[in-house]
Amino acid sequence: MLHHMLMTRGIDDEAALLQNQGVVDLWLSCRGQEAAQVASAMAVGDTSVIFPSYREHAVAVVRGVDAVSLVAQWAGRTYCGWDPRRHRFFPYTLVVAAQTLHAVGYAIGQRLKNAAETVVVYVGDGATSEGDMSEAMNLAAVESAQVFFICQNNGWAISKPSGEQALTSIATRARGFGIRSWSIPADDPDSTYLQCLEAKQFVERSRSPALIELCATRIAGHSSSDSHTTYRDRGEVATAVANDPVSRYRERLLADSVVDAEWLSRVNEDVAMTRRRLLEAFGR
Amino acid sequence: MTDDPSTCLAESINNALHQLMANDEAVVLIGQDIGRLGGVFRVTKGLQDRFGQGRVRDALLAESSIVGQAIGMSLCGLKPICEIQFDGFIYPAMNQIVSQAARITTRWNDDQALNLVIRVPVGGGIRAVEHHSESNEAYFAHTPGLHVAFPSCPTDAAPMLQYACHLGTPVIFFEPTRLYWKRKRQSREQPEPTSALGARTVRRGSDITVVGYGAVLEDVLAAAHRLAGTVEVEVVDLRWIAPMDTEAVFASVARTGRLLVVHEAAEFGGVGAELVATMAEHGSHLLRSPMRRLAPARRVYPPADSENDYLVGVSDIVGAIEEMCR
Amino acid sequence: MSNQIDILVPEFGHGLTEALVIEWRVSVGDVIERGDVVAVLETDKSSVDLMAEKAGTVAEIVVHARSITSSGSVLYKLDERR
Repeated sequence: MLHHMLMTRGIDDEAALLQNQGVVDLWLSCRGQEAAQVASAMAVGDTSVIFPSYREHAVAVVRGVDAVSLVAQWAGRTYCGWDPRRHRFFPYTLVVAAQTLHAVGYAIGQRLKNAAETVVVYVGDGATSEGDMSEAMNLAAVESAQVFFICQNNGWAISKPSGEQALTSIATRARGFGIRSWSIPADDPDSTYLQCLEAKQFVERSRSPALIELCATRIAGHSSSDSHTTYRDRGEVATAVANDPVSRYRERLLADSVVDAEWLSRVNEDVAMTRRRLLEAFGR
Repeated sequence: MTDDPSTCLAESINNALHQLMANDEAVVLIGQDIGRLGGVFRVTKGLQDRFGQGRVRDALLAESSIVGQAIGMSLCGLKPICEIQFDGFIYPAMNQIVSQAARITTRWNDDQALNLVIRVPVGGGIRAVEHHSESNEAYFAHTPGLHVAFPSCPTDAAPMLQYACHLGTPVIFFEPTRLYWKRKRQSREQPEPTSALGARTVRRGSDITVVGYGAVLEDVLAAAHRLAGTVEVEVVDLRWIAPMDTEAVFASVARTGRLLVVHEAAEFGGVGAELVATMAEHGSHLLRSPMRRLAPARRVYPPADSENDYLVGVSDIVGAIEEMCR
Repeated sequence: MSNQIDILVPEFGHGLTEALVIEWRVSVGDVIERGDVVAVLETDKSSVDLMAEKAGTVAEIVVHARSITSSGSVLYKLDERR
């Protein structure tokens, strides 16, 4: 998992640099959410179809989408740089929450075809306010659709804190529709992986929906166009940076001798090569 | 050749749905009250009994969900035909139609067909309450990525629906409400259209081309019959709003030299404007007098008592034709 | 072997093309790496920490602090390190 997290961070750093340079038009960083994304993606496994929102770059990495394909749409080359069927990772949907209904319909359709499978859909905390999200949760519950809703609550919807977005936790709201739900801190990939696995297995066994709310940290702004320091407390951002899940996991695995310096060095080379490829593809 | 008076639009669509579902297991229906009730206009009568609740699904009261889940079903290989109960209620689904359905093929770099039909009862003249008499085809005609079908008779509705179901790109399929159970129709010719998406010349004439679609076509034909002997009116049924068969209209105006476009939706920014503008750009040399559109003023559809003043009627069409041919 | 190149003011997105150079974080002669913050620019929308596109030695500051510049103009010159 550390490999995927470090790779995603490398891609994120390079894409941010390319955007700063003016050769990528817009970049939505997932800095701080790598643990939540990698852990949930690994728990979900290779075969489920994933309907992402638009920030699941670490999930894309887990699913084998290469960096240039991932960044292509943010440089205006296409609306989707990868083959959705090959990776079973569908195109980013920029209209917030619209993909939730697609995921539920897909699950219902697969069951109708006697090919029932768990369908995964990612949303953010802001998305849960959209009508489509409520409709999708209700529909999934009523239809007992085999859908695993993964909600990354990074505390912000651009400038709106999640505490102002809803009175209850997202898990509580889903429970209100009759969906089995969990809400967990998601900065530690290991515990996040185990909990997501349990939730996914519930969906498969019960053939009914579930929602897991992954409380993560948004280290950067909403996008490269968002000057988040305007609305965020300096201390809060500093804390987020200091608690970076990627560095913490790396330190822990090193300390526990799960990885060593040599391994890290090889990973760094992989990441550096990927960054060079991005620079070649998009840079001046 | 006149078309078969024994069927009506609702029955023709019902038969087409039966056939579509019998011939292809991938076809599924979703809509409010379409199963148990058979649809508020009974257009889906008998289908749930025959094909079961899995394939004929009574939707929750949520239009965005109807279209949104249908998109998901289409992505997994099914061919959903949704129903929105009335045109006035399509708005909660606009996001899923315009920002999603219409765009999915482009977003997937043309690698993904999206079979999706959205059937919608359209138009007034039925003394309905607010929101139940809308004509908003212009919104969908203006949206790239959507086909817009607007049949005017049972004989067209069935093959058009079958075509739409397997097309691989989303179709908004408008069904004129006041024609659903109308069995007495104006006589018309039924030559084969040049293609599945082509317009149809349903009456030959030499003095003026009148173009229409949907329920209004009945009124256009009535006006044409009334004027027979005085003015020879050629009537063209567009059948599809988008893509629009402007070539058929050109060919007709090349013979008659005059163009009148009639529709039930408001004139301002309506589909008629697109046709007239296209003719002006490419066919003005064919015209012997200025083109006209005949459609209601830009007003909200009024309560039932005033609807006849608002709608374009047979005498309005007769009057316009006479003025243009003076 | 070094090679002097022009570093241009980037596009800022959303139709923003003009920016005020607030301050320089580097001076002529400084050695910079790709990603180092070299200057702070301000557009109508927000302030931007401009990062070095390429590694090398700063050869010339072309647009000085408190001047307005626009996307595509030469901002500074760099002796590129290969």
